Amino acid sequence: MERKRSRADIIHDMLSIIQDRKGKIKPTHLMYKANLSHKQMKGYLDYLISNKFVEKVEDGDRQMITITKKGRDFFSRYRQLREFEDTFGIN
Amino acid sequence: MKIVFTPDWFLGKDVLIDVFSFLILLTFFILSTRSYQLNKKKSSFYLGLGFLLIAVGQLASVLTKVVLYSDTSLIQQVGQAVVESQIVQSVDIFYYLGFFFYKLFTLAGLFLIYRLSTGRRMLVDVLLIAYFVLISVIAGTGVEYVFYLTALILLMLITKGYYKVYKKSRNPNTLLLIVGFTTLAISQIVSASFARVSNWFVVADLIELASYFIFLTLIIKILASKDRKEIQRGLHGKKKK
Repeated sequence: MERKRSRADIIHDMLSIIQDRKGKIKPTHLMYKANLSHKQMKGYLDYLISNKFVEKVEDGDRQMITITKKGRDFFSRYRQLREFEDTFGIN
Repeated sequence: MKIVFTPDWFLGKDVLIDVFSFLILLTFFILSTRSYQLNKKKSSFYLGLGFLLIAVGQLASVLTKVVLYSDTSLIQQVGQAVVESQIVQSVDIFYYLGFFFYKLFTLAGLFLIYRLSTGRRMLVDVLLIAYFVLISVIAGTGVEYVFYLTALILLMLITKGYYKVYKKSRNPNTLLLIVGFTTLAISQIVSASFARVSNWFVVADLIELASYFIFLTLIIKILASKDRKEIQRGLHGKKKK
């Protein structure tokens, strides 16, 4: 059985999903792809927006979520730290 | 009395090796600290502390050598036998104190990393090994090989611990970490066997340098890590249940 995702894992997963979608995704798609409940999604999205990792933009009549430069930097840094933890067996 | 066993032609170069080692250890400390800030895991914190202790040990070694080597030139300038003996005495105390801290911090740091690599949490273990570390440092001040042997044992235990991690993860970076620690252990074998032979002292230092180059390669690999799809293991993990 895989270990439970940490808060940082979930944030990384959300940013990773947005990156995979060329930096832009619908909120509902993000919620399903990140395996989050509506309540969880709201909490994490608020955190990401308040930390300026993502932002909400209007795309025609749809609302989309886009990743910011700060979000990409965090994503990159997280990847390195995850690699470091894996190397030393920290889990 | 011979204060250091480094041959004259190698004086200064050994300090550079120590500085290089210090920087590598400091980088590991920074990575551990960042990891702790992100995940709040105690193991990240203690790993960082372990590397910091060894780094401080290296710094103590660097400072001691720098002062010691400059004192030697001072003695040469003055050239008076009486003055020389007085300075040698003060240098002697400084030497023992400086290297005492180098040994204490190095073994304490290695011990912390060993504890993390094995994942054991028994208080008796901690107290017993902490006691042996202290004894090794105190005894090792007079008998050099006691310190090197203790460091060797700790490094072998660390390597064993990370081999278990590697068997589970098959992560090539962990393998590189094992190679680095093994190389460092070999340098301790050479040091313990020929602690007071100048040329072998250089060989041991060069092997130690090689181990820190391996750690540098590891750091570069970690920092240049490409995105791996398995990083999303949390997502896939939920589906697998």
